[in-house]
Amino acid sequence: MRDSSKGYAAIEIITYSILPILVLSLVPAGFQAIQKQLAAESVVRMVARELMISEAENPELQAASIANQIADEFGYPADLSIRCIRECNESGGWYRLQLKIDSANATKVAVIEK
Amino acid sequence: MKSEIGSISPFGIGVSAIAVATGLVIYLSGLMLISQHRLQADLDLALLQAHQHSVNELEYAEYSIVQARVRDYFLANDSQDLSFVDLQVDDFESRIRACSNLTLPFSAMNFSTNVAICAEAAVASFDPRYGSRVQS
Repeated sequence: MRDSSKGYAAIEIITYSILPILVLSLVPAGFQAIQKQLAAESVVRMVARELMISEAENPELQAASIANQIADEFGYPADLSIRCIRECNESGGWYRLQLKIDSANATKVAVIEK
Repeated sequence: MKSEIGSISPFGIGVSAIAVATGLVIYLSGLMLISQHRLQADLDLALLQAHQHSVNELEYAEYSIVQARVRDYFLANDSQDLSFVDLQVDDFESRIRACSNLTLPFSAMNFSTNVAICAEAAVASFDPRYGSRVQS
């Protein structure tokens, strides 16, 4: 086999064998990444909504509790952090919620007003 | 994989094309699904807090208050660029429709890479004229 033919054969093997296998093997991982991102978005939205409607007395504590409760039902380990971004006092405030499920990250702002 | 020296196997081309197309469809549909989900949540929360704020202040929803608070929320939440916002505020019911432009990562190609993602949210509170307490 000539050198040019060998090179051509190598490119063909990569393009027609390795590339499809690589792409198709990434499909389940892609689905899982989408699923986790959607779960993170849903959980953080539910937590923010719950905090806003219940006008939580202690948002930090209540947010973590709601997130864990919902995440347990989803079957994913959720890690929620909450920090004040505006006018936080006894009568409420603006809080940024950040939720992590593995590599998926979702952020929402919750406004609590009593 | 070659049918003969110098020619390309149609089977190889087919398998590669299917693999790449599958990957692309999953990637793009995932991107659009997540953006739509995020926009829907942003609208829902923005309208809920804006309506709730107006009802707390005035006992009914007032357009300028709801609009200002929705804008504040989008700023605080770093929401995606909204290309269209339609806000309707009635005394005890508010509704918002909005679209955002999602730029697909193919800007080098010579075709439009923008996709409009739209969502709608509504919130209502009880009307005190009928004897119910005002609440969002």
